[in-house]
Amino acid sequence: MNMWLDASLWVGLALVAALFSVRLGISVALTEIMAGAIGGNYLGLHMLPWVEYVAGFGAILLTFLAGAEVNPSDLRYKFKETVLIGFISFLFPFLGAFAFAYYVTGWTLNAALIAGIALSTTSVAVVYAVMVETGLNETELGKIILAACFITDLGTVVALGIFFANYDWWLAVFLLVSLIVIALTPFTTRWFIQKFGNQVSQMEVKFVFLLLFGLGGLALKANSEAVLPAYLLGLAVAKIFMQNKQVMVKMRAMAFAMLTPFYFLKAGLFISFSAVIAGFGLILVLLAVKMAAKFLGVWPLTKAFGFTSRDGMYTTLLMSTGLTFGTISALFGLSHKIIDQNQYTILATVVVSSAIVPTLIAQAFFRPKTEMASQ
Amino acid sequence: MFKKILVAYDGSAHAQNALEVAIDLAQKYSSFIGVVSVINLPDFAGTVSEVDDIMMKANEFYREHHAQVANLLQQNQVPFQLHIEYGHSGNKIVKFAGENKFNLILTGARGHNKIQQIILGSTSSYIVQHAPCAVMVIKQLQL
Repeated sequence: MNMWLDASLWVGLALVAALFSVRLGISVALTEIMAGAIGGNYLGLHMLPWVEYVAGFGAILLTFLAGAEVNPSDLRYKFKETVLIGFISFLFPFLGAFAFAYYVTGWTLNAALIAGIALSTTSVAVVYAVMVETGLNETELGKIILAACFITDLGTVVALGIFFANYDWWLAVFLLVSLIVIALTPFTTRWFIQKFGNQVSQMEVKFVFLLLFGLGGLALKANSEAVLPAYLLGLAVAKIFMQNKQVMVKMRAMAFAMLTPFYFLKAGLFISFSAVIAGFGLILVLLAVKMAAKFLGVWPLTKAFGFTSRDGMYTTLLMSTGLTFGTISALFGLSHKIIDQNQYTILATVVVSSAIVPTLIAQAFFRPKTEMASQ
Repeated sequence: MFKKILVAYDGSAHAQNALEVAIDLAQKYSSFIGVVSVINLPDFAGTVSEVDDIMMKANEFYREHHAQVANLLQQNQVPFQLHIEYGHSGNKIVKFAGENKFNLILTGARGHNKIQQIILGSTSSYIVQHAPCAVMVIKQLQL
């Protein structure tokens, strides 16, 4: 096939996935992953160099937007509880999944680290949607849970950024430049938007892309991961983007129209259905390990901070969800040849399952009384 | 008999029919009308933006439609209240009716074909099966 026919297949799958998403009320990310998996297993969908670039850009922009969606005041509100719950929510499943993959299944050290990182995540989006639906996003409990999710994902991107980096001069340069750029970004971005914003040439968007590509490039030089600076840059501009919603809207439109579909299709493309069947038992066990580790880490903390048992269980289950950062971590492992396609399939399937199973359990059995009373 | 009537309103022609029947009943029984619209959020969302975008567009959609609904109800001098809920339509409407003690739910039938019924289910079927009060499904308004 030629480039444009290849492109039409990819975009066609993205369109079908979006249609199913709208009709079924399921996240477009999930339907795109499924479409990618069907494309890879049955339609001859395969990776191409330009898809690699577009999908990579999608992952970077997705991570940047995730950082930019943090409400800084929510992070500061009940800071101690937020950081502690968020960090433990990262650490326990990371250690649990790592230990299981390394000691029980016999994966290599680095492959087990990827398993730990991929299963440590929390899906902020899943949590956010459930919070909006239940009205908890306006409550103290909801704000703590949401902010803690951001801390968990921060742990994930930091782990991904530092575990596999080369500890050489490039890493020092990357860290130093990142520190300076991220510290200056709130000021420079605000100035750029005020001075050059809302022009046809969309200079403020190009400016953000420049920062993302520049720091991403340095991250790659250090064998680190471009999503680390992207997430931190997002956090740095979160307040400015809240005040300049148009910039956010433009970047979202670009991301969701053209970039993230390629990323999620690619995430599905490498899922092998035969490996899902062969590894079904392991998938279930790893999902259980993730949920159990989240339970062991987060649930006692919710008790310590005075949550009711029901609220605590609900919080714990929601923090057991995962999707975007889990697939990013697993894809990082696959593209750096740390894990093979079978291992990727196992991890990606566990990640996708973790977006669904804990949410269903939480919604069915542990809806907080505060929410039920308000309905 | 029907002191509190709830109209499940999604902006469609079928929902508009249900609203017109509700007005007719309200004038006969001196009823209060509640209009509830549900914004369906994606299950297992992939990004916060995805959720925000859906909320933003749906709120915009219902702002316009609710203004028209309010106008119609005012013209007919029926006491009313408008609500927006987030979640799954059938489930939210049934809960809303129960919590707020409505006597009757009016909903339009959307006219899904067999395949759509199997894949998507039907909000009106769910309401009929789970409602804590009487339900009237308006298939087509013939005056």
